[in-house]
Amino acid sequence: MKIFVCVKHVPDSAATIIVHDKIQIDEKITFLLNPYDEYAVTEAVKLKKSLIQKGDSSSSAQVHQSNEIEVIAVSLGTSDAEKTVRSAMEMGADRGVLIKTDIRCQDSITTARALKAAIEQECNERGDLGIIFTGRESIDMVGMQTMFRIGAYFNIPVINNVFKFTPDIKDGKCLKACVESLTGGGGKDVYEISLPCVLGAGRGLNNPAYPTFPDVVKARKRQIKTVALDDLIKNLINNPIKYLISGSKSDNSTQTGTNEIRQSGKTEIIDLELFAEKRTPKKIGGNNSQVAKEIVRILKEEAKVI
Amino acid sequence: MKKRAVIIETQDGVINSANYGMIACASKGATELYCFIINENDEHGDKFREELEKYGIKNIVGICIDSTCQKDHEKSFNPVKWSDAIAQAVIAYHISTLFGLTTPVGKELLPRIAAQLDAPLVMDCLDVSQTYNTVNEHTYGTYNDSDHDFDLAKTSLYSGKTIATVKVTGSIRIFGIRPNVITPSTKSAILQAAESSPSQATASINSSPSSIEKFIANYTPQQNIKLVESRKGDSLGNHLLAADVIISGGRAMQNGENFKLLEDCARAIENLGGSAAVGASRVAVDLGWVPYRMQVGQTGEKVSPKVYIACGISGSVQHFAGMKMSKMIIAINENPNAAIMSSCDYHVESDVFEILPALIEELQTTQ
Repeated sequence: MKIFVCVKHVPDSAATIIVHDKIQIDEKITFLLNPYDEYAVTEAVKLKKSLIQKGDSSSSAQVHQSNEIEVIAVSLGTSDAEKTVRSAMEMGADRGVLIKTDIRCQDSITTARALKAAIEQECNERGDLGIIFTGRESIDMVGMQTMFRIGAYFNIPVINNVFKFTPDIKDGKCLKACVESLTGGGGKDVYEISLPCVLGAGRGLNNPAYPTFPDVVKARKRQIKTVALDDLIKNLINNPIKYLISGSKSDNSTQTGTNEIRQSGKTEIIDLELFAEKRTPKKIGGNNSQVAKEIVRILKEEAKVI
Repeated sequence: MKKRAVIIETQDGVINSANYGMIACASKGATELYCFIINENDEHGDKFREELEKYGIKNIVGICIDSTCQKDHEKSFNPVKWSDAIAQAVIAYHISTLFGLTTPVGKELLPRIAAQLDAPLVMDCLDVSQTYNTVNEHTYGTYNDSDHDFDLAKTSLYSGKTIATVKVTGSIRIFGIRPNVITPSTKSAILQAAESSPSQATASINSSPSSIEKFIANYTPQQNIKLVESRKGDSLGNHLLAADVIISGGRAMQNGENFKLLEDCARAIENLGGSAAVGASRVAVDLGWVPYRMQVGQTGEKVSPKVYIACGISGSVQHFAGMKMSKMIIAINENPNAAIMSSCDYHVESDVFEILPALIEELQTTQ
């Protein structure tokens, strides 16, 4: 069984962003593994460990031959995203796949299609698709959608913002799981889900540990496969995407991807500007009761909220 | 004419006020606008119609799954089921642009719908402008002309440090609107704005809806994913997104108990007819003082209240990512060099425990 983790190379949230040419950010800043993806990697590695632990030894020898349990980190990014794939491997992923592109931020539709194609290719070569983990969102683009698109392209279920994952493991195999996701206002949903599936890791799922030095050394020896996005897209064109609505499943409303990958539309950043802080701080002085009076006046007369 | 739809979020028979900003955004230009209401039988129909009519809404569609249009009695809201139903309605009504709110519910529904329809989606939009109008329709005559038929969405990227303009093309486009950033406009305002544009828009606004139309979606329960339990959160999550005033505490609050001061302050504001909620910085959540759902910031809620009162919050980049769209920021902090003191509208250089009791008292004695 193959456990995939989709990871993204993102600017550190504390980095100072400088914009060039109205759409590009200055790249001489720290980029790192998207923080939510750390939960995803950690959970994937945890799942692999429990699968191996709970697998009975005779059958696991067989498994090793044909369908070894592996955690594979996959990323779509520019060549420096290799660093992030490597970080995932330091945290315990066995292998890495980097889908190379020259454009720093591909839109969600392209990203999901590329990840889908790369994952499918790995599965065709190496074994069955088990679970695809992602972070619940990327901190740079916050598109909040790529995991759902991957699920739709594979036609498998998706749960995002997962804070508890309980795999049902029998004989070293996991066919279903109980998954809890965080909803608004501290509420939660509990799902029973069959594998394969896509899970978006949220805060609280686990406590990602910093890799130790031996982990780092081990990760260096592991392989990162590089594929070009353009090559993957060629394969995609032969794989039309179906509408996945219940009502239209029966009719043949497939979108035929004959000559263009993006017939479904796209999003494109055409302008990027720094958020201008227009505030000019004014001091409220005086003793406590004067300050309180002034705040109440502001709430009443300026903000008009009371 | 292009058709647009908004997904209206209701809670216990009440239309959340954030919906009206979204309606204002979706109503721009000459267009036929539909309001999709999920799981609506006739229980609140008249009330909803009356409310939405004030904002110029004519077409209301109640989306249901059961063939008899009985209310779905499943206590929990199953996003897998309802996103499927809305996607079907989008196709059935030939909707080209769909709007929803970037709320916990919207975050579940919109990406699922976008994935099902393989349609582009921009979440957390601060504004959406539609370039496509009737002039274009006559001139270019085709819906698939991506050079002339696109929407522009404004959204904040890179932890709120930048504002991006995103061009969105495709036969179906979906937008999640950040609650409370767009000012609602009532019917009369829309009418005024529509005076210069084609009469069709005015006509559609002038006539009122006769009834709520029903849309019955097909649903085949999926075997590979089952919602087995759903615990509703307290309404606080929505409250943070919907409140006019958010009063948040950070490290200087010292412990969870002291957040009661903020609660008291919020209550006093509510007693004066305002709407207020209590938030927290990441530190306060990480130290276990208050639950995660109260966190404002990059990894918590992204809020845009009319007034944000930051009590003992230093103002990290990550915190700003969640509240910088607030219309007014008032900072109370002992440290004059705290980052928040230089990017707020008013600052009080003082101990929060000195100011808060005085503020509560002042609020309580104000008429």
